Amino acid sequence: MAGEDGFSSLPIEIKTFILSLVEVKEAVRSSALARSWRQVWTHLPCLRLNYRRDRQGCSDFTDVSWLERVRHLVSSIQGPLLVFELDLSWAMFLGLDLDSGLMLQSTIDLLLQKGGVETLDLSFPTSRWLLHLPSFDNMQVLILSHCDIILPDGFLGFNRLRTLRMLDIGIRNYDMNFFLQTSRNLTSLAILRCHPLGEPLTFSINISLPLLKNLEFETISEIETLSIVSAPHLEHAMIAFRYLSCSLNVARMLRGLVTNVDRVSSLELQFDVVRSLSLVSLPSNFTFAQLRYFKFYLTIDEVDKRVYESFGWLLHSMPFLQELEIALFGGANSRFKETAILMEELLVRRHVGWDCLDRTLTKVTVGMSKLDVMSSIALIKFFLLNASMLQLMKIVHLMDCDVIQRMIRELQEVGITSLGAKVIIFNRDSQETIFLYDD
Amino acid sequence: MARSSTENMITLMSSDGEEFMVTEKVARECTTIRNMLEDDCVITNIPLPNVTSDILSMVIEYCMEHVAAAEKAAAETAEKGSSSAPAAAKANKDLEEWDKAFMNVDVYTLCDLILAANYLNVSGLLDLTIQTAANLIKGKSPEQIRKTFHIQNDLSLEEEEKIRSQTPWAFEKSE
Repeated sequence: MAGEDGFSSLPIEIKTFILSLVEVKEAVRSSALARSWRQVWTHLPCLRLNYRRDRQGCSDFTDVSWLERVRHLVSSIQGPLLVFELDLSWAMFLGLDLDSGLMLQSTIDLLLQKGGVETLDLSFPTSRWLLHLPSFDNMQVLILSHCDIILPDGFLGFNRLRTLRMLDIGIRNYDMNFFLQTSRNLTSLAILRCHPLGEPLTFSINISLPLLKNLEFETISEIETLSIVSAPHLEHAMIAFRYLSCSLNVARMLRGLVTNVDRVSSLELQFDVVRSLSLVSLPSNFTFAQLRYFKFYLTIDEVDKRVYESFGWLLHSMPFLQELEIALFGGANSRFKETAILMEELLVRRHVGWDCLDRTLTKVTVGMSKLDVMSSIALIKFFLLNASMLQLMKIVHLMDCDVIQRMIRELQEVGITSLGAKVIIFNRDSQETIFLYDD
Repeated sequence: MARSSTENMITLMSSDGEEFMVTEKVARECTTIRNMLEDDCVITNIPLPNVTSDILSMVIEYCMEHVAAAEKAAAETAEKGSSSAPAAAKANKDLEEWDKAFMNVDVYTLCDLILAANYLNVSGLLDLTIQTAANLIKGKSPEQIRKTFHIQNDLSLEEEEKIRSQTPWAFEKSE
């Protein structure tokens, strides 16, 4: 008799827990084990489907049959289905013609009928597809990539939504604002490379979220404004601007954003917000009152005093900074020596008022530019010589051994190893680590 | 079993009447027991009618090892003021190795451990045993899974054929 073995007699929720740890295909395979196993997989609490994984090693694979399979799986699940992940990001050939598009939409609508979905993660291929988002009452986590979305009729918001992550999403300006206004319980929000659908052709987004802790924002030039009206619990902010050409309007918007996150404890400014900020005047007497950790990216491709001005303004505004991380990137410019001299001069001359140097800064990480070694060393030397509380300097690089040996000699010449800070030199490729101590 | 005078001892009784003396700290690794202790702090004798003595002794062995590892890590942190990353990584790896060796059991014991971990609510042990069971399923055909878990096939050939034809893609051989 079946069912006598230990495995078959485990409670159904444990069996489905085990099956949820293997690929969906293998979970479904359990239906042929014995009579008592036929329906077990239809109680799976989560479905994670991946186009690329299923396509690999499958000879007679077709897009349509795969989409049919997805729908069959969803319709077979007896529910509640708590987690649904659909990764189509490698479906380069999936044309998503009208029929397959309709099939996908009907599958997602079917999910709504099952009820209970708490996590929805849909990643589409880059071909633009219009998703009518169903109104899931229990949704807590929503992750969407590469599609255009339309909110459901009579949408009242996802009251329980905690995490919203949108990557390369097209959405109407009005819908975006309505979405954010009604999702009052969001703690984590990422708006990455999103763009407006229809008129107006720019976003103008206001964020007022009482529980928000994490904000990630990456803009492309279409955005007009993103402003944080109220986010009293914001702890971490990441702001990125991917394009090198930057209009005055975008620079003003970025200034608004950076000055709006003045209560965060952790801030990251990616490409190339610091350069963009150099286009606009920055408020004097501004302070990041809670900031302990700051990371920024800086391209040092031209001798541009204004960039150092905005860099200086940032450090000046961070009197309580404990940990600083700088990723340097060299550009096409070959006047490395001039750039390095200028950087050295500006750093030494302008650093008056960088209070964190004397008080709180204990850890600095510098990611060296592969092209511009001299400026990178100038920056490293500056912090070693001027941050009096420094305990650890981490240098991350992709350099040849002789370049690093030269740098070590240069650092030893100015006596940095007698200043009390540990220096760790880490090669990101070979993972090789060199320690410089003075004891 | 090492015993210090300051620590409360709890007696756990298995379904077959065997008694196990453990420190309260070890017993608290089981959320079910922790809840009992918090409801009634004078309780010292807990009968566990769902767990046999051989399985209970294994659960206790697991809890003791994990409590000891956590205590060792805490002591090192206190001593040095901060934990050193390489030492912590090594300790983690050692514990992982221990877990791996601990999971070297037959499937009947594995299933009993799953039930006990679920009943006593030892989340680390439940995750470990469930993952071990999942690993035994991965990449196997139904025949191989039946053999691994000693599942008797009570499906007729026609029934099995019918089941396979409903989701043929699930039964394709993949490398």
